[in-house]
Amino acid sequence: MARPSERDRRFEPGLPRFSTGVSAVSVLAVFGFVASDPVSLAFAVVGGLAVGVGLLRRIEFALTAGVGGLFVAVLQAGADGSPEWVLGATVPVVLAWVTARHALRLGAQVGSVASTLRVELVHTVSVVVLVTAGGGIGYLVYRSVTGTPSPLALGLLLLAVVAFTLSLR
Amino acid sequence: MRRRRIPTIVGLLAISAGVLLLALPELGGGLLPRVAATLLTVGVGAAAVVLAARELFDSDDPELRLPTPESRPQYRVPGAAFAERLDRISTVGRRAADDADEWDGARERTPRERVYASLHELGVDVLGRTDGDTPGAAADRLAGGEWTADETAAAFFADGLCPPLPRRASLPLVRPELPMVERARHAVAELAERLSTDAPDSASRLAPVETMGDGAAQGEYWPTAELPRTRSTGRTRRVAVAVLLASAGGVVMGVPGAVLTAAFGIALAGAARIWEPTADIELTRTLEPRTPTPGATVEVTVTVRNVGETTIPDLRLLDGVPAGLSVRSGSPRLTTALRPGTERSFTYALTAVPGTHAFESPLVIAGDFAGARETVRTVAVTDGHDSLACGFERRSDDASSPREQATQMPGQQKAGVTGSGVEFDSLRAYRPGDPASRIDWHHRAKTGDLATVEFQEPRQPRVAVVVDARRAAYVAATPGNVPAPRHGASAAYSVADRLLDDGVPVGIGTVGAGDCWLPATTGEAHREAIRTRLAGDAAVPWTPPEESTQIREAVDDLTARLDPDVQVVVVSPLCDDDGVDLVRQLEGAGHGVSVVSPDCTDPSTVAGAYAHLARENRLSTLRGHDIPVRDWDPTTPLREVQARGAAV
Repeated sequence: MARPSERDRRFEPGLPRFSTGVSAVSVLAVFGFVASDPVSLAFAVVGGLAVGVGLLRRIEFALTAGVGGLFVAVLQAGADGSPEWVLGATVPVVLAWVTARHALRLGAQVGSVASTLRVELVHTVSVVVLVTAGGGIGYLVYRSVTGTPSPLALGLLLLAVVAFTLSLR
Repeated sequence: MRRRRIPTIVGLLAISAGVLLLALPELGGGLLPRVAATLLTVGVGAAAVVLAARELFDSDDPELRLPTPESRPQYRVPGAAFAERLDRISTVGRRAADDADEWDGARERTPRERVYASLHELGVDVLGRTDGDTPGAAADRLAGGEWTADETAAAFFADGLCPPLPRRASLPLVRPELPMVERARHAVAELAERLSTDAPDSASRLAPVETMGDGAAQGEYWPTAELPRTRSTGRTRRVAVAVLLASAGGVVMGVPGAVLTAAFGIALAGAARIWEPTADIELTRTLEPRTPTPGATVEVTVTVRNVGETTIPDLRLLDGVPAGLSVRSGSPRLTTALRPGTERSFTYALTAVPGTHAFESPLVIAGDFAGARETVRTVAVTDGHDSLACGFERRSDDASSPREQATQMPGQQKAGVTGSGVEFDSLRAYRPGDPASRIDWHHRAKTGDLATVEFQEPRQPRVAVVVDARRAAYVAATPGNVPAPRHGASAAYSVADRLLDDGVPVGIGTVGAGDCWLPATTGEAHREAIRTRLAGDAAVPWTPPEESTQIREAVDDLTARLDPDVQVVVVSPLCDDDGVDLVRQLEGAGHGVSVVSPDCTDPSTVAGAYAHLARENRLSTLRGHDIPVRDWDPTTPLREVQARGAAV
């Protein structure tokens, strides 16, 4: 009769702590941004719960839908507010989504035993830099076109956004 | 490229026109530009929504199946088939309970009939061996129920196949164990108890079938056929959907902030286009110790160095742990970010098992800065060790041969043919050309006729060791343990090594996996060839073969290669009836066959105890046909078993 001589280690998918933490803090930041509007807060809480479920149960759909809920909450809260506010409140939404997805991928590919902090730090920092730079440039363009009397110019800029999105897919 | 160029040009033109309009607002006045602006906004907004929807329903790049270097392929546990059959009884039984159907219709053999038949056979065998009952008497005792004090176990044989269902079984959502399954469990436990093996507790329920391994269903151990590959993580696609929806929604609802958030998406998607995920790395690996003893811990240290000129922001590495080894501590996976010229090391520990284990090519996943795309490829280890040799050493001690008939001294075996020799066999009429030394002159003096003496021809015995590596033979005590054919390879080497020491020519072959055949001969080069074949994973691989083996064909193949007087040592776990067929058909083909059987059953579970009983039954069947069988526990070295065999 052969018995296993010892328990060998099996691969266990894990959830990297740092990215999960960044994601959770971002979700809380969104709560803070929209706390003044009960309807938005309701959207944000449902979205935040979905993000939590997506992370813990590794369901990407729940994660993306949850972040969608957070974004809707921000738009709802900022519909009458300034565009700067919407821009600022969207940063944690983007960060929550990006770091949570990264955490899921890392967890599935590397597991819970190996250290992942270094990669998570690099990824989070580069995403923050990218988002800040992109948002900053967008904001500058926006400031330069506000108050324009030409709706055609805005229409053309929308066309440009869609065209660039298509070419960058 | 053209697909991307057109939208880029359109985008640039739109931006230029927009900026021109902003600079010269008077161009945008008037009715026509207003109408154009409205049409443009609505049209582009609608197009954005449609495109977003299309992107949404596009599927991502298919996920790559990454290997799991931590553990071996998951093998089947002996008795898994029995557990599945009991499970099937439960399913069918519940369905019958749910549908208020008949228990058994006029079908051929229901699962419960099959379970009954196999357990009945085992019961008769066990009672015959423990109490000396004849098969008929044993069957009567089973039917009478007086063979055991356990009423539930006795009821299995005495009460028929359709015990009444408990009322609870008919309730929705309640899934009690069906009486038939419980009785079968108890019967197995009682029979195992009689054979005084460490029997399962009859109160313990059946382990779920899923925990018993699924053989080769999981596919290749180290899948690299689709590599290298650059794949999208799906981020850009989702970002594109969000940007399109947010811009369209923002314009329609008049929320400029929403349109503005598109900038985030364009930044993320743009970054993904700028940086290619690449990783120019070098790997070195060291093993300590290089030649461990079985069961020892081997420390593996892998060093990754960035030899490119750019920073690698996201590097994930899976070291190619050989299929036969499992990780004891640490992780063979690494994530890191590396500046040019820097390096990083990681260490993990493996448990050594016998064999020559070649490491697989490590797998590298390199991501870009934005985490939008990743390249998956294999890298070669440029420096250091890429294989580990354990066990399969020459033994210098002496012990018996595997079978008494496999004589060690040349000339002891009776070849069944006559000719020159020393032992008298017969006298025949002289034929011209017979040597004068063999003419019987006494016979000539007595009768006047010439006659020639025939002696028994001495012949050196030859042995072929055949390892059973059929798909069905790939069983292990627990799903992640060493499979029986690999124990078989160790045993085969041990047997061959000893016979070669005794000067007996030995050949080796396999049935099932691999196509290994070395004809029987002697010599150090041959010994080394046998060692290389059996220790490596070409002849007896760590992953089960895809196809199951037809015994008839396998025996035909073997007998075509074997000379008629070659003795065969079959190394088989005997965990299915085909293993017995293989041995008996080889015996039937005229070869002297003996069996070495590594025991991979675990009698402490119900399924394992069933497998143990069934294997004992097969062993006694073979012994009943005068085929010597060595029952070998793979946790002890085979030479001890052989030494015990010699002493008996």
